[in-house]
Amino acid sequence: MAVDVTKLTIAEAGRGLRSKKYSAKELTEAVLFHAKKKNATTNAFAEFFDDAIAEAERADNMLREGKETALTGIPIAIKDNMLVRGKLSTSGSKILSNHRAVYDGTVIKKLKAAGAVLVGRTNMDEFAMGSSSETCAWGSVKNPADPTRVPGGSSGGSAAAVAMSGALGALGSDTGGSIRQPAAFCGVVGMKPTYGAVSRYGLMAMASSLDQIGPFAKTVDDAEILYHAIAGHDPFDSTTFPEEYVRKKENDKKEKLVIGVPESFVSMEGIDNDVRENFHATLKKLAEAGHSLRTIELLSLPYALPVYYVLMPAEVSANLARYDGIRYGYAKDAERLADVYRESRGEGFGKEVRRRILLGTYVLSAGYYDAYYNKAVAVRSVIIDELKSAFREVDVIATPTTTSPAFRLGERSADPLKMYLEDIFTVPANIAGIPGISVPSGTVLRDGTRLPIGLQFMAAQFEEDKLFAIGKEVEQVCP
Amino acid sequence: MLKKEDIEHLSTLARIAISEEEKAELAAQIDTVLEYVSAISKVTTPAKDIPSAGDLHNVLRDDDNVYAGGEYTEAILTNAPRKEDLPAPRGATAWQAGGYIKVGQIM
Repeated sequence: MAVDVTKLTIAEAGRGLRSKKYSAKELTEAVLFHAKKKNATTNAFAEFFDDAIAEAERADNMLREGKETALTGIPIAIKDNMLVRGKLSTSGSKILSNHRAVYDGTVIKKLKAAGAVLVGRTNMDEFAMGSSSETCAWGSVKNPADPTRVPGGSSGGSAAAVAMSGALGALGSDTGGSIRQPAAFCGVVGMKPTYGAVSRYGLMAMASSLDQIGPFAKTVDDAEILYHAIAGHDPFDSTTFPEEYVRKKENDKKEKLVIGVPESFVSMEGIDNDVRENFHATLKKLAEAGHSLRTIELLSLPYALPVYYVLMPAEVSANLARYDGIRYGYAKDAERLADVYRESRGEGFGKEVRRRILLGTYVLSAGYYDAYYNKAVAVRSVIIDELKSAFREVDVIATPTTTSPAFRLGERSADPLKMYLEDIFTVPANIAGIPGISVPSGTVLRDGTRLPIGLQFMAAQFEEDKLFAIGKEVEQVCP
Repeated sequence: MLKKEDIEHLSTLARIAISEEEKAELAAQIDTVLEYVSAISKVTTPAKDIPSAGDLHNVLRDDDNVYAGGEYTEAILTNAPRKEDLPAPRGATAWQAGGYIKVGQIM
């Protein structure tokens, strides 16, 4: 039977598969057909995997044998910076245009074991550096809600893929907001787990003290299913926590939550009026539903972004040293080895990547190291401490996910700093290593088009359950 | 203010060739970002400026081979831009024969 994928969630599809309304093969075919049609406009996918149907048939076997999980037969899209064995894996960069993954990353291994069907890899800002998916070497991604606008970034392809029902869920990576911001712009749920909750083995490193893999989905329920499928300890990533931290006990569940509202932080200038109004209106509805609001003062929060733009490029400059034209990727021939490096990197990396590597090299160089890098690390501790004490009084902290709805293609690419300010609300969670979720909270009207916006919640380390709980409440009050 | 020479120095350190016309543009853009991030100097941080490692700790494992020798050699070499087949060096195990990644002249 023909499957209508446009409203389909992971949970609903799971029920359909188990009750044999359709097979995994039929579901995958329907999703791929729809994805390919939509992709002509959005460019969300860099590639559709040619073995997706074969994978779906394997999932059908699992279902027949009663060995299914919540993800068996579910079509999932993967950001192009996660290794899928045998597939091209480019991180949206020319320097990796012909790079094929030698092994499966841990999250991929887990999804495959769960019987998920990987339908393709999604376009992204080059090496995850950007907030608009415009720095992708394979063309900009367009927002499914309005193709003249960006989908956000860097995981813009994954967000758009889910928003256009080109997959029922997707994985992205979030270093400073790269899951939550595009989720908000595309009107889907996006979640960055606690630092150390999900293995990064097989994720191309950008800034290792900040990077985290997380899910995109149409509902909070679906995001929760995906999160539990990928979380857990991994001996191949020593930053992952032991299982007992990641698997929280059920018994400390609270019905009503205390929501912290950092009023002065969310009322600074530069925030779109409609976004601010939506933020306060949604909080009011949550209060009416029985949750309590508490105004909190977080004086260090505005410094999270400047701290980020020191630490992140510093780590980028070290992590991207591996792309040198020797072992893989784009290589420029030259007589001397040093020139192979210089020329391969100069031509293989795009402008934003070169800019961040040079910036990172500067903040780490002799004479500037203390004023920038060391100072930023010290301020990071201040931010962590302040958030820690805030979470002694509140369960979650709410902010808008972004300062505005999706902006137009090209609108911010000429001014790097303006693009960087996109991350103001999302960066604190990465700096502090805590989880954050963006949930759709309605739309605003721009030039005759309804554009989605998102509400963000942060919680203390390993309090993902509270994020899912409050996220589901938002879904109730913002239907 | 960053000068053209500063960008040249950074591009040498980072091993990235930067074109002439891009040097001035990059200097101005990096300047703008540095000015923005210098806001962190206003935050009072504990006098001991060596950042504490918090509750982080080292994770160690035995130093043994996780993979069987040669398991990934072929796949890895497929990605290499330049390679060469050479006989195995004396005393080497069988899987070390064959594929090498070739690099340019170092000196």
